[in-house]
Amino acid sequence: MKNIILDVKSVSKKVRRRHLVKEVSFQIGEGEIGGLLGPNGAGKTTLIRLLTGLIKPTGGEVFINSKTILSQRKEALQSVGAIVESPIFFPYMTGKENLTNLARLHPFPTKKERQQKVKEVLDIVGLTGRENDKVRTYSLGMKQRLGIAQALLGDPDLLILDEPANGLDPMGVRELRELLFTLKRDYNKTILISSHLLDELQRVCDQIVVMREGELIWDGALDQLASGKNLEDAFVELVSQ
Amino acid sequence: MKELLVAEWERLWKRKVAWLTFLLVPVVLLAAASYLQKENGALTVDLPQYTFAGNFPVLSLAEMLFTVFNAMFLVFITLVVTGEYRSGQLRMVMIRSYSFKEIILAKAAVILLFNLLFFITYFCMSYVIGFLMFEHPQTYFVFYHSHAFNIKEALLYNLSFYGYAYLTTIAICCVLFFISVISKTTTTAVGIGVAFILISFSYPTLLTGFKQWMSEELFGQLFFTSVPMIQWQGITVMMAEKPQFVGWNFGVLGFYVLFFSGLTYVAIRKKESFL
Amino acid sequence: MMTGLFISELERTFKRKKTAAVLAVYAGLLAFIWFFFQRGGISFFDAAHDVKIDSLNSAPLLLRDLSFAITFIVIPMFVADSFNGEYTSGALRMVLIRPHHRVKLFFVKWAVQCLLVFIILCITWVVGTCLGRMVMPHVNETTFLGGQTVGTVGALLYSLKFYGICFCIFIAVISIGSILSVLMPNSILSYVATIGALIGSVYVSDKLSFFFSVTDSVFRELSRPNSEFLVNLLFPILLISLIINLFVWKKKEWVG
Repeated sequence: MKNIILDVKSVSKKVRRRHLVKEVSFQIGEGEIGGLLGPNGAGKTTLIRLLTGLIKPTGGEVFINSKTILSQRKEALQSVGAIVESPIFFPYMTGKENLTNLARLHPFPTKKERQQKVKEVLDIVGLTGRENDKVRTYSLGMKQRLGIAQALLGDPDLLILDEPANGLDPMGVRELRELLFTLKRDYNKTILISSHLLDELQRVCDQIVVMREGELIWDGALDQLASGKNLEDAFVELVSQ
Repeated sequence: MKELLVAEWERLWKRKVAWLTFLLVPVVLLAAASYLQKENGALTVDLPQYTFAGNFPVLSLAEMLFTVFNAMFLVFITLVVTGEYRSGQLRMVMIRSYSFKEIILAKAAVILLFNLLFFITYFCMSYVIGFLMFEHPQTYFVFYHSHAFNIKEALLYNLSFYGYAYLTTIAICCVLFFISVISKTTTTAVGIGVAFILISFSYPTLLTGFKQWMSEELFGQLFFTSVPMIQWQGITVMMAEKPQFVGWNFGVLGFYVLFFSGLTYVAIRKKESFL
Repeated sequence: MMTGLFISELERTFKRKKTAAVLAVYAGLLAFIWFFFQRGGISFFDAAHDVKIDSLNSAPLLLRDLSFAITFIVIPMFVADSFNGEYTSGALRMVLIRPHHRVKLFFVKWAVQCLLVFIILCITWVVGTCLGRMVMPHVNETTFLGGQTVGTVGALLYSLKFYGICFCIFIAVISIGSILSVLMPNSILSYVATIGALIGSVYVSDKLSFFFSVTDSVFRELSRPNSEFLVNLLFPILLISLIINLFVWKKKEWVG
């Protein structure tokens, strides 16, 4: 029986009279890659903000490694690395300085280990060689890579990536895919990706969660959703119902 | 250009802060009124600084012109120039084949029109609040006038005062526009703007320490090289029974407008090559 | 971990070019004011009381001329950048999703702002005291507002008390500015709202005029033998503003 890393239980977010997220429940097991799909305005980013503790749910609970984000936020977030919306960095610092600065917020025993981690994540995302340039000079794709790098700093069990392929060229998308496989296979990371790139999700995800207008309309294995059809067709059919 | 002006005007009014500014007028006037009521307690009715309904528009403006009005211009100019430029929103307008120069001109026109509306609203509301909170005798004294003003004379005086005040705000806006165009961040723009206002207030005050070493005329001229000082005291002196420093003050205001508009033009020309 | 959080915030604050620029401008202003000190030789305790500058009273009088810049330019700018700028730009998200209590993050930001002001005050005090001793007319005793004549040690203690109370007022300004900065939608409004609150406080009550004229108020309070300004007014304001800050930071939805 797989260890459940992310357990979302009837999570809701209501603002004034509008349900941004309505009783969404799903689980992602250890070492799995889950895809979060939905049309624009479905509530994906709101859900990601709920999972990362940026906003509080109006109902339900989120458990990360059995720690609830509501009352054990700090402990829960120790297992999480995330990109929420587009990665915005401190533009007046270099890529390396940004990562070093954020790495201070994780409990590295020594300065050397912290520096080593920064170097490691830069290598993983392929930014070695540009780390000493100011972030304001980075392209969108490079900022995206840096975003993934900062998510890896705390060696999290769970990675939550909000449209990580945004702005990446085809080579970059392929490298991202390979990176995700590496993280799953070699580091046993659990990953939740929100994306519009159905092809990519088809290649990397074990499980798909589909949202529409704040509600969960599908949760299951990817091949069950597609079942003989093209994923794009299956998705369009599902959200149009 | 007309479409650009309309678009800028529309966008200004889509900001909540524009509406909030007008909603704050009665609040600001009430604050001024309660302060002036307290001051009245220590004054006699024959003094020009004693507040009545008829002179409340001018006394409340004098109280707020230097602070609230200048702060308001600072907020709006920084928002519509530095804010839009640095956030990239200006790009949306630029790609519609308007030059940065045209956009800045349109923004300047819109801000000045907004100011005018604000002055009119402030003027009208000040009469209402003045009549509600102060006595309204048939005549009262005004600064630097030996005879008491009746209601009609007072109205003309007030309108002229507001007119001069509006001219001073044009000069301030030119300075703030320049600061906004050259500033890299919005807080830098506001910081430099506040520093400009503070310096404009401080150096004339410092000058009073050296008054003994110069003639009254020279002291006055140096004192009124500062636009906030013209706002605070210069307008009253210009509207005296024997007007003083009229030409000088207009000259100073004209210099500020031309000099800082010129600097803005140079700065814009440089910027166009980067946008 | 708190140390890591603190150093992270410190790094981010000092890596901003603006921080160095503002400190450099402040240093320039300090030099400029000092130049006038030497030339004129006269300063003021308040609008009604002038005083000759001497070797013992220069430090408080130097701060008198600089306090406006600290209250209305330096603090609102730094606070708006730290509490609002990072949030509205979205960069603060990177820090918010780390495993730290929100309250700790607030305290760290607040502490770094207090540290910046402390550094500025230290520089001012050191310059005022040292240059005063070296350059201003040498005296063995000096008289402060209220008629209290003190010797060298007394003057030193007075200036330390003076700077200490000013520092407490500046901390209160930081606390008020931080509440407004977290609530305002952008840095411009944060900055202007902070200044507006400081100036507006005068209209609320005369007792709050110390926000507007910091040093004049401190001279006045120190001239009174049993002033309870700190205990009855300043500390309660500081405490209340900190409680409001903590409440806002705990309850706020970080949608930026």
